[in-house]
Amino acid sequence: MATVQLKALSKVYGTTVRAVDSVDLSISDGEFIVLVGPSGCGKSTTLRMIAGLEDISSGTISIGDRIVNDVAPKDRNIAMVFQNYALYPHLNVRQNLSFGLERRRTFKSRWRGIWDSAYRARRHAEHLAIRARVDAAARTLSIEQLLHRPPRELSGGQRQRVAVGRALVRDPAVFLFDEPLSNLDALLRGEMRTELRILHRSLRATMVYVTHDQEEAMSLADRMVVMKDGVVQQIGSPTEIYERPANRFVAGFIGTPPMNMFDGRLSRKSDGTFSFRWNQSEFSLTETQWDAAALSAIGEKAVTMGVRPDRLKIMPAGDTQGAATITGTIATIERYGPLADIVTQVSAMRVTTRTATDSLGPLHEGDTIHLRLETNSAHLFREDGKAVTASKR
Amino acid sequence: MLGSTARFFRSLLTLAAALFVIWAFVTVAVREMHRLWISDNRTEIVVMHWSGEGGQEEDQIVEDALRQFEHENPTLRVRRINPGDAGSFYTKLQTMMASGDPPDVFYVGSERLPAFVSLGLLAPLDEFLKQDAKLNVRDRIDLETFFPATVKAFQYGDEQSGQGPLYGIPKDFTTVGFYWNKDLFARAGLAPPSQNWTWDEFIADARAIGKLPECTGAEFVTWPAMIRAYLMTEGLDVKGATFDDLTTSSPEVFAALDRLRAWRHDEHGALTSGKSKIASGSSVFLSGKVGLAGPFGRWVVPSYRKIPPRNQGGFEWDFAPLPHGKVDSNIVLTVSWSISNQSKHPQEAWSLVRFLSGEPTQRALARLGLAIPTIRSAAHSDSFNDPNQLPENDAGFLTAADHARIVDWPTNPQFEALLGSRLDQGLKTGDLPLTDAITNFQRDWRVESQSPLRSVALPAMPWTALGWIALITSLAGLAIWILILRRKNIPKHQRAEERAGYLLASPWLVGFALFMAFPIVMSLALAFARWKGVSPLSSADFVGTANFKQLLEFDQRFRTSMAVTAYYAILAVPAGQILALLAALLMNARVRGIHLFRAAWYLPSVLAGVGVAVLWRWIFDSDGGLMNAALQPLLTPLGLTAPEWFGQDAAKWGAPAFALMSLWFVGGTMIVFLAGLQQIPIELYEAAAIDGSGRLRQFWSITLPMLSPIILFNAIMAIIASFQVFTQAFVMTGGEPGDLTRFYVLYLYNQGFEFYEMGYASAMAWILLLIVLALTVIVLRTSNRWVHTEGQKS
Repeated sequence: MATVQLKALSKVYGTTVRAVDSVDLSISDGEFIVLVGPSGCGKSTTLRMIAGLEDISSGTISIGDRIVNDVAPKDRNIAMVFQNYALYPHLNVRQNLSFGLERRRTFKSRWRGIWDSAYRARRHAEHLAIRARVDAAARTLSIEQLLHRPPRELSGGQRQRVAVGRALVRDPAVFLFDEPLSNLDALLRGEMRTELRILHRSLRATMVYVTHDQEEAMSLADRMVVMKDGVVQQIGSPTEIYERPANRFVAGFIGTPPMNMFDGRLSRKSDGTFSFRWNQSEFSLTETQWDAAALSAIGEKAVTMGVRPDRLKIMPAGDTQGAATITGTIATIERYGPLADIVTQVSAMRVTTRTATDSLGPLHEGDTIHLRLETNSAHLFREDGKAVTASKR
Repeated sequence: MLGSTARFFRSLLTLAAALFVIWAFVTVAVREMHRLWISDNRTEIVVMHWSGEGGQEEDQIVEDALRQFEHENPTLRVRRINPGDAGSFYTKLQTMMASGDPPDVFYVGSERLPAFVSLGLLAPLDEFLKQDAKLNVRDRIDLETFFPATVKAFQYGDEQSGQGPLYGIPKDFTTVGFYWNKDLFARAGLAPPSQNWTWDEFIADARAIGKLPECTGAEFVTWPAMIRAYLMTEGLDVKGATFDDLTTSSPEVFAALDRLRAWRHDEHGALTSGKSKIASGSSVFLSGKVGLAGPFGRWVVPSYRKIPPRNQGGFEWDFAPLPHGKVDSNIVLTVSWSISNQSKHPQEAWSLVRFLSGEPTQRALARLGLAIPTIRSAAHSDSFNDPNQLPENDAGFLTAADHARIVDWPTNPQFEALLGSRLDQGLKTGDLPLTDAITNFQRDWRVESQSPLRSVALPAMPWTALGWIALITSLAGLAIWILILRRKNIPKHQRAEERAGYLLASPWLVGFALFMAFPIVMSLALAFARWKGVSPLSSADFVGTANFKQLLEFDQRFRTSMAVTAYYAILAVPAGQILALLAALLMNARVRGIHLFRAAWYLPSVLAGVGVAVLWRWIFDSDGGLMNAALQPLLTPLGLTAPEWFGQDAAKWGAPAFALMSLWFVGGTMIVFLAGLQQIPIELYEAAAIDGSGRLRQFWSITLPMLSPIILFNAIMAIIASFQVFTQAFVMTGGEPGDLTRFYVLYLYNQGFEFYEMGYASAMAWILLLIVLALTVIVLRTSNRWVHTEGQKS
């Protein structure tokens, strides 16, 4: 069990490519941290630097209260689960699980026991201890019946369990997971997600987990770190990040289906309040919702309003009196059991609306639809992408 | 811009290459067509010769002579074949004879005459001579004008040389003696060897020169003919009246041989003690540190003439005939123009032989300095006795010729090989006491000459029956195959596709059947036959399992070759694998210019062949070779001396030398290992690193198991290759000294192409196949214990 501290951590390839750019992150003991971002965002590189598989260009990494920049991977007291499992193909499951423990034996010599009976006894005791730990880990992961099998006889899910088991059996200070579920099919992925979460709860170990799947990140993380182009975009709990994305990138990246982004302009009304103009429509921004000072600072500039698809409401035909209405043609309706996504073509933009299937009523593809945009549940982003602070929420 | 320019040049290059290939095909085709179409009414005679030491010049002289002959004989056309050196010549001659299409006129060395005559390959020439005498042809051959011994060399009757019909007109010859270094003689304060010096004087001179710093008195080659020449000077020989009556164990012969052994092995510096064919005998003299070298004939003269004069760092030299023992004796070694017994135009062939043996051609060839004309007047002319060229003592060759004798050999060519290889063990390497060496020789020759395979009366090979059996078996096999294919319940369109597939593969299938399957089956049949390989297959005799019985029960040389090959394999296979793997690990590193390093490691494998073998012959030369020059400084502090790899230490170090040399070719194996290494997922190493493994542990726990299928493959290939060593041994040592570097396949070649025992050689080939097969099966059987085939997947 340990904390992990990253201070101004950077990885530079060659002279110009900054794969990881000055990352600061403080992981507390027992926390489940998920690094998430699109491919090439530097999340895996960060993880591999924590593991010691990549050299650090600058900055420091501490595990516990020890700076480990120059410590070999094997001495960092970490365990890692790889995307393609990295099971030793020539060893069976038991040997795979015990590999790390065998390397860390106190009584290593095979030969000394020949003449030193005390050594032999201790070595045997150690052997039994390793066996017991492997058995325990196998029980935890329900792979006891696979122990004698070689990896090639295992299914993808079973291999993943063995890979996790290999980390588990070591009882490390920090668990590192590098996209461990991405080679599994969706069903298995969901199952393993739950198991990992349960495992974390029972172990209360520090875990650093890398994924490009934001849903997976949301479901697993105590806190998540959203990264892009080597730079940390936002750190926070899944709820925080979902509710208050720090910038347009985070807002667009987190959440399914993605947030609708309306690129419009801020405009000052005669009464001094602000409104958002988009596609010849005007949406009032009430002072109760938006910090007037922030809006004034921006002035009449281009801004983006982000609205999550479940925040758009379908208006009954004819009831379009409210000003905050968008009108378009339904391009497709995608039904997912109780929920449905309506994709509406509004001039050049496609707007996604998530709604309960029950409330669809008689809507068909090709129909005209009116959607109500409620600005008080919307997000506003400046031209540089930074979120405009809402006055209160 | 650059891209398109590069593309343009690449296209240009491709075009040039394509044109070049087409041109090569077209010229060869046109040449043949030309020969066929523009054929006039002239009769074609085919001539074959070699030009080993004579090189381009000899080639040109023969060519000029033939054109002159064509000019004088407008009704005849001569086609000339020159396969290169004598070895290639005899191989080519053998295949031409076996195919029933031998050249009309060709060279025959006197040492091969008994074998050739007994195989019925040569036409007797006496009738032609009589006929010429009767007609009094203008340029007729008068044997009276020839050196008599040279003529005798080509007479053979009643299994005796020097009597009976004449089978060749000697074209040139040589007597033998020692070449001596004038400078070393002067430094040692010695008088030049006289025309009739003695062995006592010889060894006294050698001892005196051996005392000079870094010098050796004499190089005395122990080739069978030279051993016999030496014995003849003492009035002795290895045989009595016939070759069944060996005299090698008589006290006199033993004493003479033991004197030679003592000179070589018991004295320091008098005679070179372990020089082998590695320096091809004669080249030792070029070092300028050997006082005398021989007994050699005239053939070394062209190369010795290249020794620079004293003021340019070389030395002066001359020739002295063979010293006297109890008698004054010398030998002739000679080559004739002979006519094939199967020639369709014997009269025309004879007229060509007459022309080529005539004085003008002999004189032209004499200028090469390579040999002595067989016609006395030509020999005494300035063409041979060139006052402007070394050696000064041309006359020495000629006076020796007056009392020179022929060295006769039995029809079985193995006699010479056995004598050479067995006596070498006593005289040259000294790894056996001389008495044992002689006993072995006599035993082996007795076994060989009394072998049931030598029996005259053997049933003919039942080719017709075998042909029918083969035909019926293959037809039955084909029928069964077709039936099986028919049985398979497959849809029509698939069947059509299958048929198309076989049709497309048929060129290869036919090629395989003709050029692989048929020869393989033939060699199996021949393994039970006695076939000389120089006459059509119908002449083969059926011997049952006698070939195998002889090989496995009696043939000592077979056992030796087996042992040499096994010794080599045990060293070369593991060493090659380990070095290749280490190199692959290095070449797997990600450093700048790694491609260059990889290419450098692979390059030697591209250069394989004779050239590399010659190079390594120099490297392993025990006298000034690179290997010993590098080793000696390391060994001196330990009180050791570097081995004479192919000399007297050949029993221990001959095969290891070849194993060392085989490391030159690890590039190919390395590339396969490298490909295997790059297949290993990097995550395994990362996982192992996190799990607590250092680099060495990762090598044992990840690299080796993951690479094990590749190691298996490479090991099997290496085992197979190790049993097929031929080129290196053939070029570098020819199996010498004795049989200490006679690898299995080299002995197989000796049997097939030098002793004309094709059946015996076929049996050897099949035994080799079984051995390699057995080894491969053993390796494969044990492989499931250490090969992890799943390593490459997952």
